[in-house]
Amino acid sequence: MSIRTQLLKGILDGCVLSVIEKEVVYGYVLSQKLQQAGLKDVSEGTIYPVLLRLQKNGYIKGEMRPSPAGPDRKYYEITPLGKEALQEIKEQWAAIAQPITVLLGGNQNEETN
Amino acid sequence: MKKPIKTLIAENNKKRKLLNEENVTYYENFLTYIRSHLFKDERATEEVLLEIVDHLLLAQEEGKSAEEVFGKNPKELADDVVENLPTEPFRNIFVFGVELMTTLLASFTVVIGIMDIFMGQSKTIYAGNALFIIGAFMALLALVIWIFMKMLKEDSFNPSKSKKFYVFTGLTFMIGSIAIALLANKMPAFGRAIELGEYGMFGVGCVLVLISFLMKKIREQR
Repeated sequence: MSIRTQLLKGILDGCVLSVIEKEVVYGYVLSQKLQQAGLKDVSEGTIYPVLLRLQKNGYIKGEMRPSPAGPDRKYYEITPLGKEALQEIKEQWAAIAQPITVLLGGNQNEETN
Repeated sequence: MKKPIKTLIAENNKKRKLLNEENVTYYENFLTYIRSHLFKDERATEEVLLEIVDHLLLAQEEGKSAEEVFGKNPKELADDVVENLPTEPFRNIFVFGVELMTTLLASFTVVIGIMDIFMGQSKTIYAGNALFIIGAFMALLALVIWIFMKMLKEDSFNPSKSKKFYVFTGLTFMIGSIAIALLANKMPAFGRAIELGEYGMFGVGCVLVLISFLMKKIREQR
């Protein structure tokens, strides 16, 4: 597993939730949205374990229904519980993003005492 | 209303045919591996397998291969999927086990029943012996299924599929059955004696066939 994949693994649940919060999607569309957002080397398959996990936790609900193009697709929508979880993920992320950016990126400007 | 699981499987079979040669191999290994986990929720399993075949078909239209979209390590992804699938409720596993056993028992009883009628033999069975045979047979069946699934899991992503394990499981089943038959033959009669007459065994067989048929129908409607 690449370092990038490992890093993403923990936060991918949050990314998937935030896409689903904005609109009801099925797997393929979800993977396209993630790619468009810039997560280019997330293997498209990795969303399926994430979707299963989110369903198991009750954060999203999946339902098979016909798509505009014809065949049935499994559409996912966020649940109230999922919205709470997403809010929490956002808060946690905001709390660690800044210090990590400084820690990992700030070496050049670091002052030595 | 939810579609029966049988319909989901039929749709999968149809869609799989639309994959090109390279993608179909990739997908079928994946499918075999995931389906070999018997204690996972069947509906959830079939739904995610359908989603994945749909995904591969859409990617294929865009000229992307399964390996490009799902990565070079399908086993890692499959393990990740399996880990997150809900488990099948124990009740369903139990009922399916009973159905399997009834079906097998039904076919044996019908065959023996026909032989009894043909030979005009009146039959007495002993409850103790019958229970022993059924118990031993159930244990054998569980063992055989366990071996088969274990081997299937190990073989799913093996590029040179060996069919050896079919032979191996078949042999285990045969040797086990012969051993049980020999044991049953040597065992002294115990338990209550039940007089079945010439047609009794066949009658019991027919009832069992009916029960297993009904169980199958009910399961498929789920």
